[in-house]
Amino acid sequence: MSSSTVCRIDSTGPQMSLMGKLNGPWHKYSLWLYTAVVLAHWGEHLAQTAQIYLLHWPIPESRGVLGLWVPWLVKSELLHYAYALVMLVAFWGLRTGFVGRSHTWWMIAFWIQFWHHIEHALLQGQAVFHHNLFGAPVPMSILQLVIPRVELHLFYNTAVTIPMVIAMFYHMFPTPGEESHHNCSCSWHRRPAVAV
Amino acid sequence: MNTVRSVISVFLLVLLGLSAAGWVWAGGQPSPKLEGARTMLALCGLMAVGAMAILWRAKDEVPAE
Repeated sequence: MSSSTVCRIDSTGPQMSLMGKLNGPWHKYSLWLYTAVVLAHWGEHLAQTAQIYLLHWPIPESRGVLGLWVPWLVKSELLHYAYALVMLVAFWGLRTGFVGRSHTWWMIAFWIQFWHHIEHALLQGQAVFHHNLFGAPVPMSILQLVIPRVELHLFYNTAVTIPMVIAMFYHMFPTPGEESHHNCSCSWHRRPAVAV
Repeated sequence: MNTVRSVISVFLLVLLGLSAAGWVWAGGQPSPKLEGARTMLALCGLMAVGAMAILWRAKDEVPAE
């Protein structure tokens, strides 16, 4: 067996940093958890758009699934900002586990999420200071001047999720050259791990 | 590989379908932001199609023994 095709999983001993573990032996589980959180968030967005576009509910009453029972969840700018920040931190924290094509796509998702997070920070700032931009009755992000909020954030989430999904797909199915640089067990065709 | 990209494609098709439904819905709204809404929905649909093209064109390169 060529050494270039061996998937290396470093020791999980105490000498390994948290970032090393997150991007090494824990990478697969971190990505599973992250994907579950992202899909739960998407479930809310898809439910909301289905309520508006298919069921023709009024927009203020289209609050996804959890928002029907807990309306403040949808209205809380703090919650939206916190989610955007968690995504940004996760993108950054899990980036070194990706190599080759998957790293390129992961970083595209990161930079789009960076702008998405700026927009949510702007909304959160208006909510904190009780002063809305452009004299609007509700907090407004920059692009909301020309695009309704529902469609704008559907677009933002799509623009972040698609490169993220492509990155994960390439990470699961790497070329042999990329796999030789993996320190995790994410590859679908992973060779038996050897400790180094 | 086909299982994984099939699961992802289901999500992308739902997104594509909702974007198309949104396009139709937006056309009936008296919103001054109609063009902005439709532009975003069109981009969502195009990204979903583009992602499916990338996923289904990928080759499964199983490492040599």
